[in-house]
Amino acid sequence: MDPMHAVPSEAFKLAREGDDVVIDFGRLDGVPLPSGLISISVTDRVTLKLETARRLLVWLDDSLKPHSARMRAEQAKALSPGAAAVAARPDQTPQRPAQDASGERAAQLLRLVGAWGVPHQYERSLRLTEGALQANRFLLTVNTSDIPPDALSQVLAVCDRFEMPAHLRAAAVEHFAMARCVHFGFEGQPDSIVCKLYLEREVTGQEADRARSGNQPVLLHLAFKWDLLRDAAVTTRYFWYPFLSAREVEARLAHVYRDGPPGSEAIARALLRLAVERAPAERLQYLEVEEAENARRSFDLNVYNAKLQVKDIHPLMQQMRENFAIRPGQFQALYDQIKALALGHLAGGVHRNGKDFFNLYYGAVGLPKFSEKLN
Amino acid sequence: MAGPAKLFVPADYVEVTVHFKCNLACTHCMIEGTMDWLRPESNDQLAKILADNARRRQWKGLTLTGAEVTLRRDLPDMARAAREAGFEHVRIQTHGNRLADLDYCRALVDAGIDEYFVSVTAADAATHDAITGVPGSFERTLQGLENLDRFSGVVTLTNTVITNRSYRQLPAVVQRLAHLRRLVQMEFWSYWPMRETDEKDLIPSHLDVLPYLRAAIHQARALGRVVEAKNFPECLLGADRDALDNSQPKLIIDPEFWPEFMRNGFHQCAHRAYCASKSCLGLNSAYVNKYGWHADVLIPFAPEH
Repeated sequence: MDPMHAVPSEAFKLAREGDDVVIDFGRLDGVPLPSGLISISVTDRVTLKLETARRLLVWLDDSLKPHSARMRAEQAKALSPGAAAVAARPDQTPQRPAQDASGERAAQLLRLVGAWGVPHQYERSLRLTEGALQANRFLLTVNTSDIPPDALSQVLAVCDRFEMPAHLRAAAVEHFAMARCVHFGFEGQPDSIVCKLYLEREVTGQEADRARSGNQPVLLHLAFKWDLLRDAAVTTRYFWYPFLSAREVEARLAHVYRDGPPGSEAIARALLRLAVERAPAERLQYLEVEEAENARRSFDLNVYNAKLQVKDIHPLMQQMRENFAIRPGQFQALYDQIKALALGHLAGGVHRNGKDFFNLYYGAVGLPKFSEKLN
Repeated sequence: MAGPAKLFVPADYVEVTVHFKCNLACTHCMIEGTMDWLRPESNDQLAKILADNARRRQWKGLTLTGAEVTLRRDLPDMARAAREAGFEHVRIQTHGNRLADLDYCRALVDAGIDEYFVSVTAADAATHDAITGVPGSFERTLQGLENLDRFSGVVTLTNTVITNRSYRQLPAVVQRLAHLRRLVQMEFWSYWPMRETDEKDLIPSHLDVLPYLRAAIHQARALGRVVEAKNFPECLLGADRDALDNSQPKLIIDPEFWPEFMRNGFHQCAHRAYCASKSCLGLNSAYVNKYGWHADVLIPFAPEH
């Protein structure tokens, strides 16, 4: 009988053949196959009766126990960091800060509207007021005719998820038939989450012409706004002054800012001048805004048709920053992210809290623009 | 300003932690609390990795890392073995102090180490040495980089950790290293504390860091260098967002490291659920606990329609 010699093995294959367990042992050839697999040369075959195989299993298990921690560690090295962390300490759960409530609510609104699977416009905005720059704001716009199968019930279902106050809900139901499209608005702050539903009327060309001739505005949006964290709700009316000339817009701005401050009026006028260099004033859209519950008196000038970028009004934004004493670093960090995006509209005037403000909307993606649709 | 094309593909590299001792005491050291008990890969384990890769050709480059690998006397031997096993590149991650010895540099280069990832914590000796806790460490690091500049076929990369103590110097770091001909890539890593709070008060506000980081990116790119910013919110980088690169090679390390690493809690952001960014690590737990969510400053990338 030849003396026994040890042959190291790097691979094996197990098979059942009748009542036997057959184990092929082999060695890696070291040359990868074109398929990426590794070829193995079988060096030995061992056949075991089932009982022998069972005893071998027990012995193998016992033999490996002293090495199990090290082997688990070796296996874990092949895992992703997250999986390796769980494998190393299954009971350890990292302590994370509480989720930002506004982020969760914003995500919920986007999910609910997105789930309709219809085209919608997404437009973000920022607000500057004394000492504050708020940029966690956006609008989602959907044509009511696109919302299947019953626009009113679908829209109310979204509003219900955001706990719309009953009196606003009733008003929304009452006026919903006039809506050509709806806008869902969102503003998140640590101590305030404001949800909004705008009903946008269909304004025909004839109605707009009549309003222009009579020098009268037409109601364009009826908006319901409520705060999830505070007991606050308002109804806002947006009146469109169709096809105003630049001089007429300036006159309206003077009216809005009749009690000041002159610095903000100058900024609004400067934006208007910039926009009318790129597009006729008549193709801009000038709105004025009222809220019955308070002294809000403000305007909204849509300049998308002027095809400006946010960076085109950088000097004006710097002026706003200075006027409102916004921290330069915060402003710059925000500005750098949005400067290459399309400038949408500027709202400003006296807000419902009696304070001067500007809202700047930018970077809409999605549906065509209002004026183009009207034309 | 767009930067030069990327030079290194993380998937081409494997990092192996072969040493967990260091002779500096950097305030921002991410393994400071774990160096004592993390187990480095043994020589046998390294040999197995080399042998496996010789068969599979999974990686082109090997990075020897851990804490300070130049403290291992057999570092040249490891590099030679890696080269003999077919690795096209061998890199070390180092604070570079031993590289101030030109003969030692030559020994490493001769052994096949052709890429040097060197930590430069600040732009001047006073700041750097205060961070590392070792007087003279800045001059030695700089001398090491200058020594490496003498060897053809060698490239150097630098890593500067962004902390409260360093962020104002980021552009100055770029300028201080402007003379190095073989410096091809500069990396700027936002500090993470490996726990849920910033106990050392080292995390700066991203808003404070931003102008310095962007200036450093611009200046380094103007010098023809690739720049990688790590662990910084992508949106805040604006037009420089292409500098963000959070990808990393496969890291072979004691698995006990990962539960500690996970305490950082990356990928948190108020806008995470609807931001279209695919590569941002967001904020980490310690950052949020210190500065809040910045929900009013971080602007999510618009969802794709």
